[in-house]
Amino acid sequence: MRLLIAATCLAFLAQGQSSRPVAGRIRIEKTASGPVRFAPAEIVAWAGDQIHWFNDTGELHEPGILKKDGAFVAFLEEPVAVHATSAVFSPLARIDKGKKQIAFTIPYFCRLHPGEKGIIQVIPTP
Amino acid sequence: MSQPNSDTPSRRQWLTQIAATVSGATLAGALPAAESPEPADAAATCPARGGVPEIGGTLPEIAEIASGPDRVLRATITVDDEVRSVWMFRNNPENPFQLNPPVCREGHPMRYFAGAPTGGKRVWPVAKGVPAPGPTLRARVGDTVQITLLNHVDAKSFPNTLDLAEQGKSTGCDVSTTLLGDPGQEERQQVYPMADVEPDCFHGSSTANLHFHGFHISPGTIGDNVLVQVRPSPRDPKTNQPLITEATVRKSFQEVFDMCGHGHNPRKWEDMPRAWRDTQDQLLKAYDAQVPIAKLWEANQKAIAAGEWPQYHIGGYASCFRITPEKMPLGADGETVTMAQSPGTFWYHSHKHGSTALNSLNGMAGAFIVEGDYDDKLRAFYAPQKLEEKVLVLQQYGPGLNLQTTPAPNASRQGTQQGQLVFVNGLVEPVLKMRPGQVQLWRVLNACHQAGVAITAITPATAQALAAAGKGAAGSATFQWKQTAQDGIQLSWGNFSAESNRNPRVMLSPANRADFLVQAPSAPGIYEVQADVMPTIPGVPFAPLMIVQVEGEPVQTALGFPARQQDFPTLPSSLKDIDPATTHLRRQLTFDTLSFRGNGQPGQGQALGRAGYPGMRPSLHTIDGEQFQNNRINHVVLQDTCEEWLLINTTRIPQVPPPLMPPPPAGTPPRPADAPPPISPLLAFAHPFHIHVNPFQVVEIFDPITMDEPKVYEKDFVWYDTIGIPPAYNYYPNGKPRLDREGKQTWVNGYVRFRSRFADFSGLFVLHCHILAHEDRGMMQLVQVVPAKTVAEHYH
Repeated sequence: MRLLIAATCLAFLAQGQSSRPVAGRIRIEKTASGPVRFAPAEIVAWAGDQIHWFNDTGELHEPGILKKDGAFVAFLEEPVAVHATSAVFSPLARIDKGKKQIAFTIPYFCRLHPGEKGIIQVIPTP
Repeated sequence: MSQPNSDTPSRRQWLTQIAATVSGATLAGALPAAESPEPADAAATCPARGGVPEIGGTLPEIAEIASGPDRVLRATITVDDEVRSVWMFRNNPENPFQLNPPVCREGHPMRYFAGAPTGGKRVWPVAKGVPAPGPTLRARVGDTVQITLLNHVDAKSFPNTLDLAEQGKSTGCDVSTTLLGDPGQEERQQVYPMADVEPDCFHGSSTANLHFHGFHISPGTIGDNVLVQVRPSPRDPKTNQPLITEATVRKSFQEVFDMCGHGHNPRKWEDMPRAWRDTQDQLLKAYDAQVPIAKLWEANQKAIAAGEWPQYHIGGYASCFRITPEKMPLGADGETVTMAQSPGTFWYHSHKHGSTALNSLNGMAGAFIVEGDYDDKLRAFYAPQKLEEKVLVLQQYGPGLNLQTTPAPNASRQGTQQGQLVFVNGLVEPVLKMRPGQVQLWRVLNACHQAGVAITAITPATAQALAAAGKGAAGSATFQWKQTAQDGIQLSWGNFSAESNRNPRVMLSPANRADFLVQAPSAPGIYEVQADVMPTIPGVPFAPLMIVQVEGEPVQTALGFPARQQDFPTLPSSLKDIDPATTHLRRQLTFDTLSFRGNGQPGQGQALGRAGYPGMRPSLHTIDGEQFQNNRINHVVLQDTCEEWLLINTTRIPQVPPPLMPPPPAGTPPRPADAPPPISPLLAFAHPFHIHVNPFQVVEIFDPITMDEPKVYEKDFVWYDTIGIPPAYNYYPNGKPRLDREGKQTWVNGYVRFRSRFADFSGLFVLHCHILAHEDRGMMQLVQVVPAKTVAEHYH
């Protein structure tokens, strides 16, 4: 497992500067062709980092995940207001049986715009 | 992730190369990627764009904005923001007693103070993308200070909090959430605010104001007024540039500054220039139109109608005051001040209740040097070698507060102990240079948002410091130093010349300042300034605060320190010991932190911070059993009267018997018999008390951790504006349990007793704990000083 974690981390690092953990703001914006997207669609964050969304559109957005039973769980207590920033989502670390942090991904989407998808890659806090 | 090899020669050489240029202009792109001998490790290359070394850069000189020949300091301080990279502490879950190399965190939006002479070009910061203090301000006692504050924060860069509340969509507190549970079965869990409620919660972090810490000036209108809230400037929808700029406020603010320069500060809002009032009306109405529930304009109108100063402003604010000289006229009836501003090391920082901690953690603080007789006397004494001065601003940096993020599981150094790197002028362990035999004046400002820093020793360098310094060998001689001032007020001759002031260990609680005359040994060599950083776990080592490189030509005349009273500055006459017979009133304030167990019930938890998350509630910080409340004045004081206050700390440290301190390093000389008590290591539980406008003289202190009995001072009292109140403890320093009359082990509270004169200035201001998260979360009170005279007479 530890080798797997190390390999995962090195794989992120090998992708260069853009894949370094850069927590912070995800923009919700309209594309030139019309649909709305999360930009960047994929971010890398350390467990415990603060992530928020800036909604640059005229509609509400509500990022979250689906549980195994199909229920939607929003990251935030309120949808992201129009032309405003959201509250904070802070991914909690996951640990293995040896209580070591492990890397994992959170694929997410907007409940109000199901085609709007993103990924948060969470890596262990150094 | 691989661990960086901090001893790799090539890496050290690279760090040294970039360190040599770090204090200069912007380094973005200065080191082409192809030429960078970048190890295959994220921490080792970071921040690739900023080029700031992990440790060991040359101590940056912070740009200064100083008074002109007309004795007016004109400065524009702009609150700005950008994406920054910052070195942060790295947890070591396997061995909490081991130092780990820091890790660089990139991509975080952070706020900062930029500075320019008003009407001139921005002089600070000079490097982009890395945190630093604000510019240093410098003026002389008697000068007039004219500050143009601009709030150019782009609120879109930061999580939305306050505005959500103003739309009725939150409680008014910052909100953060996480997902808790096994994969596929997660539920949303609130991380913050949990049990916190407004106004005593983190909120409003894009709102600005300025506190002039340690200044004896009016707390009202355009003085040291921390009750005003300056919202960010509106922005051009096309360019996203702020619309309120120095150019747009210049005319109105100049009218304000002209009034102030003539000694006629505005007393009510109607005294402000009409154009500025109209502008603010328009901006506030526009804001309220967007956020109808906010009603800022209405709140202002209510205050103005009551003859009070309005609280809400948008885009900019003019601050103006005269640095109070002896015999400064007050009013038109010939009265003069009874207490002058001492020349010394002061500072300014953001002070919006609810966001002082976060803004401070972003770096929003700067030194404010007030010169006077103190400087003249010291410069005259050291004229043969020209006294070199170093302004050293200690800060902690980070993008977010620990309570607002999920804690790392199984991390033994988290919660309040997370991120305890202490930066000096923006760098970790910078290299300060001295010539052999040289005496420098170090002005040390602890601007950390929560860490106490005890300067303990200057010792020969370790291998790591030698590598960081780049050249030279470890020194083998000894430094000499003496403290000359505390919190901006010089020590009396008796305290300066005391044997206990020979190489003293000095505790700087958050917000404390200390000036030192430091003499380098006569031979070249490299040394380290050792410091304890608190809160900490006893025995956990900390990195040195700075590296001192002694090199170059020895000074021609080694002067040592002033040995005759006539060579040492004279304490201003208005700052002599307060006569206890003048005490008008005595008060008692009790500071307490209530911790909670994992089950949410009061009691000491298993560890500091939130190790039991999510079961553990954040602690509750109170004064006299209550948190700060809007519209409630806690203390009313008669102006120009002396009061004696007893500050009690009932916060209990865990029931850990002594010794609570690690043994001193080998070779540490024995303590002189009359030396002050050793510094308590558990200041996580001490509360640094700070009161605005008036300093105070400490007359008694009791720290149950280090003292058997209280220490009572009879004369030569030291002035402070901030002092850590020691916590309660249930052992004697020798390890014997403290017992009550029935023989049961009992807690004994720590306390501080002081005297202060609430001189010269009436008005409303605050006292609070300077662990700023405690202040934001309720450990603050309002003080109203009222005139002791009326204009009513009864002989007609």
